[in-house]
Amino acid sequence: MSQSLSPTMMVSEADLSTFLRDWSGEALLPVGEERFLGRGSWPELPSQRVSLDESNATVDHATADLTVTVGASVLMSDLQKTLNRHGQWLPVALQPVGTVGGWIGSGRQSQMAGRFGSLRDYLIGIQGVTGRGRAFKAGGKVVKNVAGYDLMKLMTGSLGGFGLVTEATFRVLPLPETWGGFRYPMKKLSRTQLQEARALEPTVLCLSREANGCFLIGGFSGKPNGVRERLRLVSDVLGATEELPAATLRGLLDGWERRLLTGNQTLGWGGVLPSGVTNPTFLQSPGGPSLWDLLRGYAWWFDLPEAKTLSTWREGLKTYEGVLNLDVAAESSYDPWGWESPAETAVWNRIKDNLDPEGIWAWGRLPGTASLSRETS
Amino acid sequence: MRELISNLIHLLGKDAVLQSESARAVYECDGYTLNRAVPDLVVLPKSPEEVSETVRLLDREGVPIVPRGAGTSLSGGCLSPEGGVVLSLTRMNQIEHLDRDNRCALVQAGVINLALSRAASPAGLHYAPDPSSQQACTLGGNIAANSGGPHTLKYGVTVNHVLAVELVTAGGERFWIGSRTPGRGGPDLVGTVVGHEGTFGVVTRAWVQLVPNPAATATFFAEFESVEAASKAVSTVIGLGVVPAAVEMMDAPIMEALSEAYGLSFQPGTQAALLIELDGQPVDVREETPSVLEACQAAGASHVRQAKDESERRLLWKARKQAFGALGRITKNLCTQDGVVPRTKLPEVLRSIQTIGNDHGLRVANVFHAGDGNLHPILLYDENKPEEVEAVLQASEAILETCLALGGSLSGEHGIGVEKIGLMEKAFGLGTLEVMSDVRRAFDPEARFNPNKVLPNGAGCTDTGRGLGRTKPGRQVPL
Repeated sequence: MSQSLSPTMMVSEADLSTFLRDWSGEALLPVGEERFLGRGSWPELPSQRVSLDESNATVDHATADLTVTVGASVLMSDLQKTLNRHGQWLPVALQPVGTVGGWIGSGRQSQMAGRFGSLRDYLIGIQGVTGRGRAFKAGGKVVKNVAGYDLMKLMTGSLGGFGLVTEATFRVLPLPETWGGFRYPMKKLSRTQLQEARALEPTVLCLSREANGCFLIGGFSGKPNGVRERLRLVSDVLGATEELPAATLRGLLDGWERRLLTGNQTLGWGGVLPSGVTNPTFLQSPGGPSLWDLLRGYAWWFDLPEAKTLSTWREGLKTYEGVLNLDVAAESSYDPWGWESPAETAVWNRIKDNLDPEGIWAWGRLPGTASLSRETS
Repeated sequence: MRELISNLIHLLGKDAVLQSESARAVYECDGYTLNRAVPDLVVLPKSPEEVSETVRLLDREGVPIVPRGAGTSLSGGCLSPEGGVVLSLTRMNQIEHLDRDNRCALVQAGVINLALSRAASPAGLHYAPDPSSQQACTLGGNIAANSGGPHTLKYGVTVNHVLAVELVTAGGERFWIGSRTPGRGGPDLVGTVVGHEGTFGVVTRAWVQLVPNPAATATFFAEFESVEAASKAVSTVIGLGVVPAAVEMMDAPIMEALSEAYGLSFQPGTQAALLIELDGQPVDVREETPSVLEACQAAGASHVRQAKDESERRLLWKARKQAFGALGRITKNLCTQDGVVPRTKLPEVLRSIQTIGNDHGLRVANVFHAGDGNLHPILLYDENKPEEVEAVLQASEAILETCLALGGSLSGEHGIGVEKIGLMEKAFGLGTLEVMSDVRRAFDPEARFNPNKVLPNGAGCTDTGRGLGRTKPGRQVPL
């Protein structure tokens, strides 16, 4: 698959409808900071990257209502800083990398998804364009809303194939007062201990594969007494743990976030059923995920294992109905998707045909859609 | 039609095809009784395979299909105003698999909401979305409506607890979307389907998530001398960084009804009360309790009571969940509205609702989910008085327009159905409705499923002459 290397076009929101009305070039690929372009496959036809200019403002932060509305080009880290200043946060990552639009389009998860859910659970309103500039606005600024169809969910994870998001509204949470963490060697961990640690409702509970072995990294957040007591309880469950001060734990979380989005390596991501992360022996198998969320089963590989290991893991994960997808750094022979669903692909294709009959927005990155291409004159 | 009925009887059995007028009349409305329409036929399949074959037969004849669960919809979502066949899922009531290790369950669409929580209870789990109708409503209906309930503030609504859905669409095609496994990626089709109000197809089964029963709870009942004071307490609690499991508010007419129905007593001068519940780890509940008490006292609560034990907790919740029923003692009929506003607009919208009620000569009671701004003004009237029925319709529209004007939405949890379809263009504009219509057509190109619901004019906004608008109140029987 080849990729267009033409420069990214910047378009302002005010000019967007005119731009799209007059566009006659290659299929358009919405981008932000281009952190998530490796997700899925590249569109089969060359595509023109397009990015929103000037859509980088916080439109409305209703602090008392715990909602915030931002332009899609806003950096997630800037959004988080704005929220933090008011004692609030989006519980998707401490200092998330990428833009708001990129997070929505990629549908990515963080290591706190097991506890807090993912961005789709906080996205309550959206504005965007589809096709040749048809504007839409769904959801709103209320945290509970069932009026009309949920276009927020449809756009999440769509990799820009249905159109461009221009603005998003999120519900947010109060910022935890404090954090505290622990580290424990996985080789000492029993299944029972792992289950008891999970029952304490940690904010994060991950297997971290490091040079000198696998470690259980856990963290709690909330009121100081609550965090202290939970750390004490987990110490009772596991025996002696290495306590991680708040700054160390936060540094680890930030470091993981950056490992998942930098460099030229191909990254793996996916997950297994939660029952698949209860067996410490399986969790430590060679070639396994660099990070494994032990609450919900999400998994991440910082570096792609060699092909044979990759195939072995893709097969092995099926025992737990698991999937391993790839964010490919460059042209690759690997199939980026570890799963397929012809029925869902058919529905996506029909939605695409209806929303964007001219194929203005690049398609072909989702499982099973690579064979579709835009007719060119 | 005769041949179709014969084929349906052959497929489903005679007892699963209801033809007589009296049998069909049972399905003439749902919880929204202002609109009624007797369907041409009612069918009750017992399995996903039967649903698939039934839809294939009906679709071939171009017959509209109205999926229905327990009929607890409060927006006319199960109404069949243009005839057609009601496809009832109530006989598909099996919990096929309870997966304790993965905290999920495979359920048929007709499983009753509370029945799932009861089945999961021995495993220390429950199903979190808990609408007030949970003793009767079905999971398929919950999925269609994206149902909520009092505990959504902390636990989220139905879409946050559905992992995968089996859907039957046009032509009887049956397929699964979604997965129990996290981290698959791709557009969230499950999230798109949940809340479709039966307009995409028929939900036959689903994998739903279960959550652990909380290790500790603390339930409070606080009384205030004004709605404003109670609203202030809500904002203060959340502003202190506490996200309660539930924050419910009720006003004076509700408490009057509860007194009459159950002999409950309240402090003199109480105009509004809050039911606040914390749950979670014992240490968290202990830590958050002072914040709740502090917030209530700062807002001027005249009395705050904390449930001493589980039986007292159940009593407090019984009062809340049976408030609607209690109103039956003070009114012949009631119309429960459903709107939502940003939480900070609660005092303003409640004042407006009172004014609207007064302007239309109607008494209004309020019991609702204050924590997330989801209102349920209940209009009390007598359906035998046409002028009161008309007043209810007008007042309902005025309330919803007020919600929109305050930055809210037409529905927090009941859905659009037929009741609010006339306001959809005002709420979203034609452009967005066209985009929504495009999504719908991907599932149901002929607008066969639950036509004239959610979107004005059925399949596409460019269609003309098929709009429903607001149906005239009273019974409607196909010619």
